[in-house]
Amino acid sequence: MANVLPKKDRETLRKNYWLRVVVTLACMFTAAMLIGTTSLIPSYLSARTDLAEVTRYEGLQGDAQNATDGDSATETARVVNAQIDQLLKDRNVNASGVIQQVMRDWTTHAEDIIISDFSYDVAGGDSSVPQLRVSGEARSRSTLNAFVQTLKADPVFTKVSFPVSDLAGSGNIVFSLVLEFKL
Amino acid sequence: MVAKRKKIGRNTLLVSLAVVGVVAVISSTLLYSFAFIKVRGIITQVANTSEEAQLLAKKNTHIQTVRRVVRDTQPEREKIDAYFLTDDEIVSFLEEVEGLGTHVGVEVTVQAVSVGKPIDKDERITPLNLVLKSEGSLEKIFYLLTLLEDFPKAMSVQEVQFSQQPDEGIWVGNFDIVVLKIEKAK
Repeated sequence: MANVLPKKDRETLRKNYWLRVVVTLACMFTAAMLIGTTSLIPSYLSARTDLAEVTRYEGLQGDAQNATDGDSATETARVVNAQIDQLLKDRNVNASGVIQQVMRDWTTHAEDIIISDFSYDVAGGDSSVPQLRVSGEARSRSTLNAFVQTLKADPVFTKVSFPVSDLAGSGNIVFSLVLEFKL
Repeated sequence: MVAKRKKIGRNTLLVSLAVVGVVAVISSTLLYSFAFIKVRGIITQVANTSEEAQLLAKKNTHIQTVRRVVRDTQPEREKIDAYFLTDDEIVSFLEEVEGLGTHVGVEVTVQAVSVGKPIDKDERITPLNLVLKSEGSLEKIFYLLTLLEDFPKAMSVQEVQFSQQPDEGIWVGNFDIVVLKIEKAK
């Protein structure tokens, strides 16, 4: 079918058509936005109610918290924990056991070894492990060596050390041994 | 002439409709965005407040539990407290330590007493440092050491030195010990 309208009128008609389409779409979009906004209103009101409720609950918990701030229960629990820690820590310190062990090992060498000093230090001097320093006099190098070997063979002692310079000289030898041990 | 006027009038109507449409789109978009942001803000606020409230509730529950435990363990705590000195017991404790020497048969003298820094967060447990000296046979001094170690207090022997006097042959024992002292709750 031939279009008999003049070219200018056809152009105007096309423009009007697209304008209508755009206006219709704008109306639809506006309607959609308004429906969306309306549907958000119940959510808004519900959220407001929830907020009021949660704020009230938080206030109650805060009041309870403030009421317990002056309470000594937590402090008491902390102090008891510290007490127990200290009691358990001190349980491992045993100077007499170590000195007694040296004395036992000494008995077989008592004739050749004279011990004149025991120094026990839980902090261990330069190192961090407890140490026992045993000083005295040995009749000879070989008797001192035998005593050191006895101490080394003892499973209680993990390390037995003495300065090699102690072996200098003849006759009586002044020695100083440093012992590390199992707690 | 009439046709031209009619045409102008139609154009004006269409342009007006287009302007109204644009304004409606912009204003409805702004309205929706405002409502959406508002709702989202409140929901976020609800979530945050709820989380804080939950934390507080958990903390309160924890405190309630601690309070119950503290109440239920009263006898046990008293037993533990008995291992720690109080300010009132220091003098009697020193006398007891000196009494150990009498029991062993050596003289024990308290050379020095000092208070260290508190070792706990609440500053209620404080070490009391003692330096003791005694003279006698090695057996007796050793026995004294075992008694000190077994003393029913939170006491630890930090340093011990037994040394024999070259001329007299007697042994001198020096003991550095730490006893823990507790401040009573206010």
